[in-house]
Amino acid sequence: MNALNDTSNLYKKLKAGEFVITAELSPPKVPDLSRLDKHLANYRRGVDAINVLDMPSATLRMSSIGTAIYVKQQGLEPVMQMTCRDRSKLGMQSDLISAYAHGIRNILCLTGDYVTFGDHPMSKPVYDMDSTNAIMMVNQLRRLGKSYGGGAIADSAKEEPFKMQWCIGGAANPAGNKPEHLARVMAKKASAGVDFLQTQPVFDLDVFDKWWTAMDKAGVTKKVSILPGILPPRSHKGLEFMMTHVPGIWVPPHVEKRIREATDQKQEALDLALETMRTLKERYPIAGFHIYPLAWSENVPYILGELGLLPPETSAVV
Amino acid sequence: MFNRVWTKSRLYRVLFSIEEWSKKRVFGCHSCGQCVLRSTSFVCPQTCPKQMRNGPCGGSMFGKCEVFPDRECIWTNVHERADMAAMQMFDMSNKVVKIQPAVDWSIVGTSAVGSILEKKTDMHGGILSPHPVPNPELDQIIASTATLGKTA
Repeated sequence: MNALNDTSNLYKKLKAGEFVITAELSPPKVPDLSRLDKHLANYRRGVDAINVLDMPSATLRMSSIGTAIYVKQQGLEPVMQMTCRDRSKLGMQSDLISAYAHGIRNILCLTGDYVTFGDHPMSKPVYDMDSTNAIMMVNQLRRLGKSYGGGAIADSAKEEPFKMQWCIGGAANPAGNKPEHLARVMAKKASAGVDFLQTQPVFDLDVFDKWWTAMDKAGVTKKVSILPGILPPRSHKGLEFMMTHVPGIWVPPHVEKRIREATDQKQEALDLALETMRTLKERYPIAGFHIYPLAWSENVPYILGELGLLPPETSAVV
Repeated sequence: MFNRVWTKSRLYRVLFSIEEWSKKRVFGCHSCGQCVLRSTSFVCPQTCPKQMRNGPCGGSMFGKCEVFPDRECIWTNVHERADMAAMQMFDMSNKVVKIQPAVDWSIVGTSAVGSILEKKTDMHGGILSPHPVPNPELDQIIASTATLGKTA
């Protein structure tokens, strides 16, 4: 358990310039935490922090805070994702205080997929604020010990405001819109106080290059640690599903063709992921990678092993 | 006291209904009471399904909306208009990079012009009162005060 005023290991590693690996963990639908154990076992070596999703694609699942507490109890470091879709300013801050009390120190502020993508299209989307404002809110809690409403985080007037040592993350999509326009938004997130940015899965290196150049020009790459997203799909069918059903994913035709025509689609996708990672690491001063293994967490140790990022077995004991 | 009388007066109601009626037809105004049109190239951010006030969400692809793919993403319009030479007289490229605070729900459904006159918001939708919002340049301010402390 972290000391009350201590920041996260991820924050320390990012500030020290260490190469970090984060991976995603989707909470279960069934209230049975033991289902996460096999994934957590795969993440024990080499993964610095585990992103716990907050109802991806607006589909009902266990909450990110509940799952993140379990990940923490298992001796691993969670990054709690927090979307603005389901909670107001008040609800989000209440969850932040609860998460902090349980030793969670990393937060990823997202706007959240719209409710019509999930299984509750009749639900009311909240969107009391956007991701940039959520980052600002957490930064104020961190720097001043003040809530969004301006009140001090203290139980009495005599007490000093409690400054929660959050490590704040944000999301970025390198594809989709003009790089200059995207860089403007990321510059806003950077000045709002974000520490690291995890991107959507990178499949198109040309698009990433243009985005990186624009981000460099806007001065974001020097201020913020950037972790490009890597997603090895299981098969061509899986890739096609993501292209049509998951918002914000761009797969260029040549990549789609390469996976479609491969005899072993799973291996081809892993090879592609490794090639992408090697190129990105070589070309850009990135802070690490963010891996989207979907339900196949066994891919993570394989990828890290191939890249030589897997620490020796002995360091796995927690 | 003055505000309470003013917002209940007949003159206020007439002026607000004119403002609401005209802005609804021209910009699709949602009467948030903290108008940011002058900072967002005259595109109302409240018309976005997610009410994004600072830029497109991660699901906006190729200038299209994530929720309604047949519609254009409002933030593509904001940025493209800001880049247009004709907009430079309003100095848009400097304004679109400014962080807009989240909507203050205590003044939603009131007149935006009234909010400016009552000094609840500034000319660009920034919230002054009744409730404070986090400072977007908090880190820079802290960094500058820290260096000042060191030199002193």
